Amino acid sequence: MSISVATMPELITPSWRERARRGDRRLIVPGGLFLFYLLAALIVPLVWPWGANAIHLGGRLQAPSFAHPFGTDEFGRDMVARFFTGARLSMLVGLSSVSIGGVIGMVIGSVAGLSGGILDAIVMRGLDTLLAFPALILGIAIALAIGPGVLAPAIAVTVASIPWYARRVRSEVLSLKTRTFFDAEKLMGWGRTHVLWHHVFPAVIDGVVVQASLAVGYAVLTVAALGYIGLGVQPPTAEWGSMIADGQTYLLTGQWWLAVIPGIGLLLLVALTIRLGDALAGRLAYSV
Amino acid sequence: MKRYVVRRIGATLIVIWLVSVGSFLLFRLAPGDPARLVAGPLASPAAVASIRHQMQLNESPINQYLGYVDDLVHGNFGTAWHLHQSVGSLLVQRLPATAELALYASILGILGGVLIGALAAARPGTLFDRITGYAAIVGLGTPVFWLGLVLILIFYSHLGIAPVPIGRLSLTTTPPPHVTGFLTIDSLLAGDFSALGDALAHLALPVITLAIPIAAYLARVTRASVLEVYDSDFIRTARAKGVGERRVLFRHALRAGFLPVMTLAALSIGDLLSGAVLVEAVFNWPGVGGLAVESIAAHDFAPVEAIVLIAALTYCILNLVTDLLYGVVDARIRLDGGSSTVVRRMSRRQFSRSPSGTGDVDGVVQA
Repeated sequence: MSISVATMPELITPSWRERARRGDRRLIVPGGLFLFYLLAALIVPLVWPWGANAIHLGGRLQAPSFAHPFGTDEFGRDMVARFFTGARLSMLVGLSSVSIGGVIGMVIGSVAGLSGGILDAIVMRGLDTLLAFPALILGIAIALAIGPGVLAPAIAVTVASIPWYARRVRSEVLSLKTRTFFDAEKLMGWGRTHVLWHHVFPAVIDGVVVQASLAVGYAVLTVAALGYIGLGVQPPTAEWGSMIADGQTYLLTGQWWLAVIPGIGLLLLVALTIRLGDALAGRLAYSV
Repeated sequence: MKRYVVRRIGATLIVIWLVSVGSFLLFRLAPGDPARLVAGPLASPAAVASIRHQMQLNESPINQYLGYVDDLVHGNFGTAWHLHQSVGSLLVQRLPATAELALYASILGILGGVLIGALAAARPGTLFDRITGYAAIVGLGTPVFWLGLVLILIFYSHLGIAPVPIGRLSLTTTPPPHVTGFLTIDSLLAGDFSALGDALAHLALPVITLAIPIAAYLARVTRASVLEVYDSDFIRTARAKGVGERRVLFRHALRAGFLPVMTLAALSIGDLLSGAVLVEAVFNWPGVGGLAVESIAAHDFAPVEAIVLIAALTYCILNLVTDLLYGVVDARIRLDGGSSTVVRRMSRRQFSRSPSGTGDVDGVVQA
């Protein structure tokens, strides 16, 4: 069993700078690759000579070449531009959903764990209810309610991630509550807000970070899956899932790259974030 | 034990009620016109008005909710207008195809994942451990719908050894007489081995596609879980008294480490439903998941609403069954003695049902 941060707060004293100085290869390699990927997604669409939505009917379905390294699609659009524009969208939705979901989940879990009693019971049943809707199913339901578009998958992956954070944080808070300093705080007359900000959040943030790094991949995959079944980002916006759906028409007629290349982009991104999550978990003394 | 069972069933009933409230809020009270959504874009204003009346949308929200629940309890999920059939009969018709796919995929995924994870935990740091570790990350990172397409590209298009990825049987094969709805079992019962072979050939690629993320996930869970058990005193005792390594792994470590794995396996079967939606779409599988995607494409939302609700309820029930089974397994192992501290520690962790049970594996299942 890992030594959880909650039970040994002494372990979390080293600052981020000290941790970086120790130099953890396991963290640096996937972290560096992820940053590189992120930068490429931000920069390539800006500097690449072809636009993601520029149609050239004269150059339809071209195989990968020097001018178009990933080929062109059925409208002659350059797949490199579309690939990295799609990457930018996936990363944006993935990162913002885990940050928002992480903060909401952390607050819900902390408050429920601190309060206990009836409030805790109500929150837990609510979280169980959210867990009953897997992210993809929730995304389908939300897309039906508010219409397809980028918002439905973004809301779905954010909401679906909340119970995972909240449950993790709650269980850490419950173990924090058994510690002496907690009673000492009460005796000194500090209120709940102070305890939350000065003791609970700092103690649980590591767990939330680990959870978030693992949730990014799940979020990215769900957004792509909703795009694939046509309920996510709508054309002509470049998005990996809908690019795969468009490309599958040409899968068996020889233009395999249209569907295969966006999938490799997804696979690399998600594998990288899982690897990063593993490394973070090891670094922050969570069991791997 | 009895109190625990009653409490779990009570909690599940509350969650099921909340699921019905949540889906009602999403589908009936959301902005937009639910009657138009169910009637379809081509329905005449009169037809929409009649459906609005039928769905009691002119009533107060409370009455609407009561009517909604009444419909659900009576299995009245409306009509799939693009197929001219009631959603209830469609679901009954389509369910066996999904169940057969999910059954084989979960067997393959659970057996493969647990075995790989246990063997990797027995040799931490070796080449096998590292290769399977990376393979599990790749397996988790693979979008299932894309994996299905790539398998079709390789095994059907290039190698030509897989059948046309449409449906459960080739057009030329006569389906076996309907008994269970599982084509493999029905054809065995009928003694029709050519139909059996055809059904298995059609099952192979979708089952593998669906099983890979589950196997990858469970390999990671099992490895972490078994490694943790390896640290405990009873394993050292077993080794000290001369128990062989293989027996230590499969009889002692895996058995104690299997408890959290079992829970997560059952929950990943719940997630299998969302995987099935995508895999059935890729392989044109005539199941419930494929129905969802077809209906979305046809802007026919009554079947989709029903499928969302069924997925959530299936999850609740699986969750309950695992929790209850867990109590049973837990008690049996405790009776055997020997591993009580480990079991107690792990069961406490599991009962609290923190998804963080095994550290590295949270959250990422499959999309």
